[in-house]
Amino acid sequence: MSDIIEGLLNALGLLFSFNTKIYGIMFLSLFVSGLATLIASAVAIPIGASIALKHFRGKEFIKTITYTLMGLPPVVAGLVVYLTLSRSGPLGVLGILYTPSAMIIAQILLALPIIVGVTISAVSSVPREVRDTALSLGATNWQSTLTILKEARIGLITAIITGFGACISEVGAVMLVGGNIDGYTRVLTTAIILETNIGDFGFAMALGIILLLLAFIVNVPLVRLQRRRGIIEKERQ
Amino acid sequence: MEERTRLIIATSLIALVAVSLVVAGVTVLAPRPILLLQTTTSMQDSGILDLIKTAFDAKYGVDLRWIAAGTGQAIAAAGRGDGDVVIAHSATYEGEFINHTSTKYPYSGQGIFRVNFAYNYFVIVGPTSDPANVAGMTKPDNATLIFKIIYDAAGSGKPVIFTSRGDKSGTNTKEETIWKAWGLNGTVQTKTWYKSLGQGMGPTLTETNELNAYTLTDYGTWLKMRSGLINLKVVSSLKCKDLKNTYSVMAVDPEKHPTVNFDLAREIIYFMIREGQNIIGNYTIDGEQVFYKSVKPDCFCSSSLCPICNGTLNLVSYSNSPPCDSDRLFCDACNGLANIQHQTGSSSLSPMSLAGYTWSPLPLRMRTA
Repeated sequence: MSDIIEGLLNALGLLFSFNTKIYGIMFLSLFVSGLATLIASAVAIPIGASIALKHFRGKEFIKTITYTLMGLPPVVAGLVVYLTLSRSGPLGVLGILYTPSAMIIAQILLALPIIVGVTISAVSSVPREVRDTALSLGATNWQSTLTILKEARIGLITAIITGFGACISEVGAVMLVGGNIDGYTRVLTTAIILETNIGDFGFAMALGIILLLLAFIVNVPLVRLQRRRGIIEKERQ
Repeated sequence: MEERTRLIIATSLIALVAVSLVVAGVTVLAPRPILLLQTTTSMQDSGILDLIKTAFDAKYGVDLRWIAAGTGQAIAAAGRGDGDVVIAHSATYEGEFINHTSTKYPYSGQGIFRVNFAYNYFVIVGPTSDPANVAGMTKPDNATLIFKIIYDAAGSGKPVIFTSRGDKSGTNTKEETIWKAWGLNGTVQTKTWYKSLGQGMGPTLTETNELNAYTLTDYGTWLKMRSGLINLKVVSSLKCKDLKNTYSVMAVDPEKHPTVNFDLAREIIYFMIREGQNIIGNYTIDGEQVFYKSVKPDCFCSSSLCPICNGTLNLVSYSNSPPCDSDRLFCDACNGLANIQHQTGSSSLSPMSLAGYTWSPLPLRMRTA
């Protein structure tokens, strides 16, 4: 218990300590996970929407595969990326192992199925009438798809939030492909593992609380975007 | 969506992309040459690498980076070319790594130029209550005997638990060697009081503390963590002969992995046996010595690029031997460009100060005709 309280106090101390090392780790965490989530979303949302809206043979199979991959252990994804980017691996020539780029790639792979899965669910829940109404009002196929996505906005943002949550909390993969190199590929989660391993639980706890704070700050504007702008809301305001 | 929200999102995205490009540009444009070291957690946790890095980076204007993992992972990764140089403390793994006639493992024969540069001792730690009564020994400087005492005590029903790294690390290998001395390796792991944890030294010590158990640990990690390990104490002597823990540095063979930075790897190997020796000798935690200096070359490779021996190590003794009574080692092929001095226990002469013998400048990559 005292370690947890010590952690809380340490966290506050660290945040205002102007310790460039901690700030560097915080920035790298946000940078890697933020960029990974962005790229993954840009790819995953169209894929998820297509799967949800189109009818094709094997649709259920694809959905099952996607949901299964949502449970992919991050360290396994990390192992796959490591073996691929290793000097002896197929993409070894790129030489990006043990760099933030490798960490971003690993997190993209992890976030992709998650964002696709939640997108499929969100877009599928939009009532059929929305598409029919849009088309009957003269919308093109593309415009009607956009309308559906707007209706599914809340779910889509949830997908992004979930994807970001998976990225920022990930530790096994970034440890493997990043190497936890001090000042270069050390992020909050790998730093927590390091401090835990050497028995400095108070410091580890503090870093964990900082991570949660960062995730909270990122989620505030995202949740804001989920607000309904319907007629009822406008009247309430 | 409101106009304002759209604006905010657009601006944030542009800002993010801009920052990304700047960071990417900065990291690409201003790099010092990187030397990537694969090493073990016990080497990292002791804190010595930070001191080595400061001195080495300053001397060569480079950026020494390291990945700390278990010995097995470090050597396996180096064997795949994911690193330029390796520091380990497991003679078995190291020997396999530089053994060019072996194809037993993926990492066999992937390294060259192994040099032993430091040593310390493992110690046996146990619960303060000492249920196996190791304290009953008049002189607990025989670790092999202590292991047997623990084994017998556990067998006779005392509340004895033994924890093992269980991760094929240097420490784990040493532990197994001791069990082998009694023919117990393989048997002991089946006992219910033997806990194989598959973890690094730090988490192993933490768990040993929680379980009130005995375990083998390197002294450096113990020094760092002991203030939090309130249930444990050292039960063996601090310098058991059978618990010697030798660290070696090896380069990844550039013939096998052409992309490795072999020139820089060679620099750091020479550094570890020259200036590094002083850093190692002066490093203390709480006033206690963490490592001891040791310079003893081992080279069994037959790679044409090996700068020490270009084949076999040539041992040359001198009749009017230098004051520290050591053997001088010369490589015939490189004409004395690699001078490595064997340090005996009593001498504290730094190799560079030996009168009449100077260190020659290091050659760039050497190839035989």
